[in-house]
Amino acid sequence: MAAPFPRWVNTLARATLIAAVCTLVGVPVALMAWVRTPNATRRFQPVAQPIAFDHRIHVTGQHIDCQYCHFSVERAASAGIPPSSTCVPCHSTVWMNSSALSLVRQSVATGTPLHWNRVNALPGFVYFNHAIHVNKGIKCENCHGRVERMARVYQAAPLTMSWCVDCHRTVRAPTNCTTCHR
Amino acid sequence: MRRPCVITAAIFALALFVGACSKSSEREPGDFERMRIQQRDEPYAPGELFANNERLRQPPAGTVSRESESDTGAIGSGMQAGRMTAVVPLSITPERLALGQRKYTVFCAVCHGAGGFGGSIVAVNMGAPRPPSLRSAAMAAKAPGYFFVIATHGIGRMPGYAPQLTVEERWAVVAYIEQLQRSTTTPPEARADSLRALGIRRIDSVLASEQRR
Repeated sequence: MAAPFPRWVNTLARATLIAAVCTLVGVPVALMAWVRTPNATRRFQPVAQPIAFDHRIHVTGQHIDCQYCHFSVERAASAGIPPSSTCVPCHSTVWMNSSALSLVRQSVATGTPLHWNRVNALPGFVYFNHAIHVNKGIKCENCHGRVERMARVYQAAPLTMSWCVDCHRTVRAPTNCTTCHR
Repeated sequence: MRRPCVITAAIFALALFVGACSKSSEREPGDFERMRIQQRDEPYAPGELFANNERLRQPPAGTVSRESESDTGAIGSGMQAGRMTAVVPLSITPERLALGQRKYTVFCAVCHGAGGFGGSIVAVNMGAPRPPSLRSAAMAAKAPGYFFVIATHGIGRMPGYAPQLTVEERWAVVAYIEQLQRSTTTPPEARADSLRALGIRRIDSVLASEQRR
């Protein structure tokens, strides 16, 4: 009686088994690697804003501290987006009639806030608090990068969970689930 | 005997596959989306709850802050018996002075300079009237309450810093300004070795030499 399968089916069977194991291991590993790449975390991608606010001019050029505008960073979860009136004392004389500032003038005149686009986004189950980090000595640039050198601000850190936890372990900050997740 | 088992397993696997492929918008609430998008308000995010689509609320018109305006005492108003408070009404501790220096460097040094000589890049660019030196004899003669009132309400082109600085922080800044005025040279702490402080100090020293002439 002739063999039901030719001999090369043995090789095919082994190759299939190896391919199956490689796929089962490789696909999750590839996906885990993918979510950490800048493409997936949207790292280093400048975010377009309604006003071409340039941090280089204000921080590097004019030596204005981060906290001058983001002043709730030491006492609130959010560092704070400055109210439009923050621009007024200086820009009532400097660049007063510039069209770049027309949205600011409109905002101040009508009392409606400017709609800035979020650069550093966290999912809803992450409860981040700026105050505790700043008061424990973490610098702005540790997470936000050198904003004073950015024409348009981009997300400088990967903002993945492993990135958070690595630092928490290094500085012996709490690593309970409920430290960040509610 | 074995075939029905295989068919059942195949159907089960297919159901799992189809279930996993459904769009997230079609999923029942109660899975991961419930965690990712929570029923809470992000600060500064727009929301439909209020008429003007803001989630951060403005205090109702006519609201009086309990912290400052309604507090007519020396701490809250900087005034005592109709005059500017002649002493800082909070105890001056090293910690409070350090707080004052930190806040001064952020909010005051932008215009008045790290050393208080009234020189900074912003001051140079803003044109007349320039921010005054805090270390002139005229300024040194002012009562601490004067600096507190101006830090709170602003004067001329200077805005008030009540939203940015708490009452305690404003008094800490006043205490630090008093220290600046008493010092004959720029305190070493103000000469932070950052490029920023270097830039401000350079202009400070130019203005200080201008004043000496």
